[in-house]
Amino acid sequence: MKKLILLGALCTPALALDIPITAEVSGSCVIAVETNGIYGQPNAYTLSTTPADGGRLAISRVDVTLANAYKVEFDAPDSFSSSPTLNDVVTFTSDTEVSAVSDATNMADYETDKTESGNKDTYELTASGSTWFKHSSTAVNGGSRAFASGNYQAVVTATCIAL
Amino acid sequence: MQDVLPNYNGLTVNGIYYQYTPIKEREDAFKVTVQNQNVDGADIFKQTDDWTGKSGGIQLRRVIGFEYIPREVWGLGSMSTEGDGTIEDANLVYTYRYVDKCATPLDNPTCDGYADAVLELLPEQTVIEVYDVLKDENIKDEEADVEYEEEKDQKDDKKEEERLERALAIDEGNLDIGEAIAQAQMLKFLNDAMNMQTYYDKRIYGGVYPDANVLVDKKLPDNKSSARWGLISDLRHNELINIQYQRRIE
Repeated sequence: MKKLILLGALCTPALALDIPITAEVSGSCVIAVETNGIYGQPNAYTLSTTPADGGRLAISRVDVTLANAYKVEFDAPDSFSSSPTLNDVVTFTSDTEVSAVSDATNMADYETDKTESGNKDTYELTASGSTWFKHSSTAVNGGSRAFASGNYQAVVTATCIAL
Repeated sequence: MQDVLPNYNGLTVNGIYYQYTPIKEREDAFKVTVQNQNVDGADIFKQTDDWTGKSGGIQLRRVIGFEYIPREVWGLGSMSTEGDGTIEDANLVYTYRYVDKCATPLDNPTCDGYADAVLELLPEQTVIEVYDVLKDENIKDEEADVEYEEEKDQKDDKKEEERLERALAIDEGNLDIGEAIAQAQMLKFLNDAMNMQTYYDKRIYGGVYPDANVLVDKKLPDNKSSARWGLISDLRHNELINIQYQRRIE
């Protein structure tokens, strides 16, 4: 009997089958740029995105499909990402504010509840939906010296962080 | 509401987008209601945003979707506030789809003008002009100038036959005319025969005609002048012949 069992074990081929388990995770926090900002120049040594100064605010939109699952951080610029050679220190003043929401009841306090740390503004996204943010930036050249002619560019970095 | 939406057949509303900015103090009680009723007064949608205890100055943007509600269903729409506060930059946009089943009459046989549209689609009876060389005016002109003898004879015969046929076929009363013509023909033949017979009847009377001039034999002397000229001509001929041979030898 022992021999038969051994023989059977030798004759039966080993069967194996892979059972897949898949999942597709789509981003449920999406950041989109709705409007690029433009610096205006109210005077020779100041660049400003304020509309009154001839500039245009940058607008971004953050869409989340899950409430209380994400927070979004905005790092305001403290230097130009590209510019002509500058010999003076440039002082940056930047800010991010909620400009519009899609849910009055649950998003209306986003702005009052935001946390600011240096150039970084953080918003807890406690409701699902869309939130629009406006970003302002002002750069003043040191010593009130005129900015050199050329192209200037600064960047606001937005990051969606899962809680 | 019927004045807001375009008056097109088949227009259906599939969504509403609205926005406003509440102006209020945080502690104030304030509600904003956006709604739209149907023609019977029932709400198609009603959205109330309670801003009580919330900060104002932040714009609200909202999109509401529908499953293609026909234009005729939509009644009064409104955006109203309740409490201490106002709204600014209020805007409401209806998104709609326009599917006119009779945008073109051919879409449906029940549409007005369907039959006319079908008729317009049918190809027109085009007349293909085939060039007929025999009808070409230029060819006719050229043809008129050329008349072959055979054709001319055939035409003459045909004309004569037709003339006779016409003469004979008018009625029996015209038989005399035919007989007269036949007699005229017969007379013509007789006359022709008689005219020809006169040539046959001509006689040339014969006889002997003696020679009128007689040359009497006489010794004729040689013409020396002519012999001299003949000899000179021969010498000249031989000289020319010899010149040709000399050229070939050279």
